[in-house]
Amino acid sequence: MTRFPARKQIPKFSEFASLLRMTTKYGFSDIHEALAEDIKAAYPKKWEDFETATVLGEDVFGAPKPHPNAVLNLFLEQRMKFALPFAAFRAGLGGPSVLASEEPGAVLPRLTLASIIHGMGGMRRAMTYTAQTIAYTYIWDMGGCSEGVCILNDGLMEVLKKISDVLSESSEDDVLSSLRYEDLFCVDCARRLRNSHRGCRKYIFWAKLPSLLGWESWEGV
Amino acid sequence: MWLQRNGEQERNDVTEMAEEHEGEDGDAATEIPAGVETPVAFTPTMINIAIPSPSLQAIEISPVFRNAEAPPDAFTDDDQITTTSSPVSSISTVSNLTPTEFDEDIGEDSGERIPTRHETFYLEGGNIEVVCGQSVFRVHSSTLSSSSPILRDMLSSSTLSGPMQKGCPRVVFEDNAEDFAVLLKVIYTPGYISPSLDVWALCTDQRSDD
Repeated sequence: MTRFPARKQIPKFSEFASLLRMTTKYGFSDIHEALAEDIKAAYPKKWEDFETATVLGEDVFGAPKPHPNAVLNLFLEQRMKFALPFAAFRAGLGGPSVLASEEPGAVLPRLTLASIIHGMGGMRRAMTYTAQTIAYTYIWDMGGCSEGVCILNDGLMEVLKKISDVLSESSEDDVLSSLRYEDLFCVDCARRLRNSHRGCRKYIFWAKLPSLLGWESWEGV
Repeated sequence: MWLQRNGEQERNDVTEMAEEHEGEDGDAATEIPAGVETPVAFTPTMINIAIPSPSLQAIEISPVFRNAEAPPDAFTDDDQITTTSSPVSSISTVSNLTPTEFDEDIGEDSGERIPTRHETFYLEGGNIEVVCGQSVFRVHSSTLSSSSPILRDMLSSSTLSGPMQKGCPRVVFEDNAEDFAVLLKVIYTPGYISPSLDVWALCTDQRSDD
């Protein structure tokens, strides 16, 4: 049984927003904490939580799915700091047209908008270098396939193709996530590439997320 | 093909980047913390290649947006964000209202802006009426007060000094009726916020699947 048996699922966003505002205003601390707990997994602050999350961002709310800007606005308004970097990232994923939405409730404050646009440029570069680093490390630092069977196969070309994808237009937060290393490389190479992938995501991509709203690191959030 | 055409050049570029930044202080955000398990393939050489590149240096947020000491102020634009008003200032008792605003005709739409009973939360057993917008809620003051110290103060007997309506004191909140209804829905749902009420949930067949 869950801790709160009647709370079967996270409500739709409009109800969640109402509840968050009302519980903050009237000091219903128990409910407020429960709401924050509900969304912690979807708006992670720790790499370990991000890595194991099954549902991320606005997908956690019941239908209709809210605009990511609306979620970010709510978190800004209610000072839910722990969720801000990831909410900002989710808003930025849709690109400038989504970020600059004029839908009711989805209009971001000017300074927030400017900060995210600036930060997403950096995030894109970080993602690009993540992809490049994985490929180059495999080729040069590891010396390619120890068995000598993978370096010439199509797997590496798939990696490089993904790199070229991210260099052009991509709204994915992890351009290599769809790669099935095991299908493209031998067992040992797949393991090394996946470890490399994870390391790059953690120390490049994840470390840069707080910069979207002007924080230098997660410790400052 | 791409690799064959550009591989050598790219390799040189990356090597140059690594050499160029060799000896510089590492990017704090990209340093591997002590004690953290390092991925098998995540070598120091790779870090040098990936992090200190000229492009990545541009990731650093500009001073315009950096406000490490008070981050919230850096992204809050008060003219765009509406905040809820203080609950203390949002309440007025029935003594502030004229008799015609709340009379026995509640629920009948006479064309004027007369609040009507909320279809779900006008509880006959309630002992206080709360007006939000065009809706009147009748609820239990003890239920509202039990989890909210702010409402406890607002709904204390000394505050509710105005005339009664059907034996109930009546207060006016500035909140949206829908927002207040959502709050009541949670408060009146057994087991939603309090694990001590699990027995209620069992009685009302509101157990979760697990």
